[in-house]
Amino acid sequence: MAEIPAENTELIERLRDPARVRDAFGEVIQLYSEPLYWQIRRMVQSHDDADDLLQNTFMKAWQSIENFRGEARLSTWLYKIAVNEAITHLARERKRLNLSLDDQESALAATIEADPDIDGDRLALDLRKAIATLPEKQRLVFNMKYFDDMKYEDISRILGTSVGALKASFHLAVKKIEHFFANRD
Amino acid sequence: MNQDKDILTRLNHSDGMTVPKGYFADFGRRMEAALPDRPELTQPESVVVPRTWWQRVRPYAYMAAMFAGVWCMLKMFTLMSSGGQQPLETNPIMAEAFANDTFVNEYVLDDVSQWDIYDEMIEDGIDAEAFCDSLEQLSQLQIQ
Repeated sequence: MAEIPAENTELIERLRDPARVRDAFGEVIQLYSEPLYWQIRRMVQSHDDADDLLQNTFMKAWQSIENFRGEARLSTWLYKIAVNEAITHLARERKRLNLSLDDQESALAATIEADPDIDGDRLALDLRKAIATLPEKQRLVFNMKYFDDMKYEDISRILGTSVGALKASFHLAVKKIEHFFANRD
Repeated sequence: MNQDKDILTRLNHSDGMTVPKGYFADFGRRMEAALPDRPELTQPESVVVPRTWWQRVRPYAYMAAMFAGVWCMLKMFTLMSSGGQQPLETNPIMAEAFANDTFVNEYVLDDVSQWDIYDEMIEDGIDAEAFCDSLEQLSQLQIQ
């Protein structure tokens, strides 16, 4: 999986420069499309949905680039937009298909089972199903910590939750996943 | 159970998801091409046009007009409320009307019944019967 790029102060300077902002944003797309894609994909499971949401993420970032003043980290700002897009999409789908949270969990499991974009590892597929059973916030925390190896402090800035709560959330998520594997056929 | 506990270690941070070949390179190109122009970001700030005399004075003129409006409104309310409560003795319209005998005879005295007159006389301590007798005597004297 893609690593989160290190903060680049020179790139941020160029983002603030009206003459160079468009080129700099092109570089942002190249740098961040992969880590943001995986973050979104792990939430919505479908490649097509993840592709649409990634486009929306960059489009929103571009439309409000003048609001990014470099006070927050660029990665935090982009992750916030991406996570928000993914959560909003899931909520919109629940409303559109009139699904409860449990129903959506089953729908995500069905999407995982039917996903053509996998490497054929059955255990990995079961892990995705196990993650899909987690509540949204726990899923986000687990994905950021387990797959992206993000620091709790960074996750805290993105999700606006205390580090203590994130640690507890990750611990619970791991327990639930272990329980899932212990109880499977 | 121990094997289940190790599962996250065995998976080595991989969930088996893949993307179509060349997806990220293609996405970058598509996304950059789809970005709309934002001339407000790239163009220098527009030249500040000096404000005209009217543009500078306008807020004060509007404020003065508003105060004048409020003053007129208050003045109108004052006139309306005090006009109906002016005492009879200082009201020039009423004074003119009571100076006119025709008005008093036709519109004021005609409107008073004799019972009202009796009531007033009793209240003022005048003997109504004696007054009537005196009126009768007066009329007889006039006949003679």
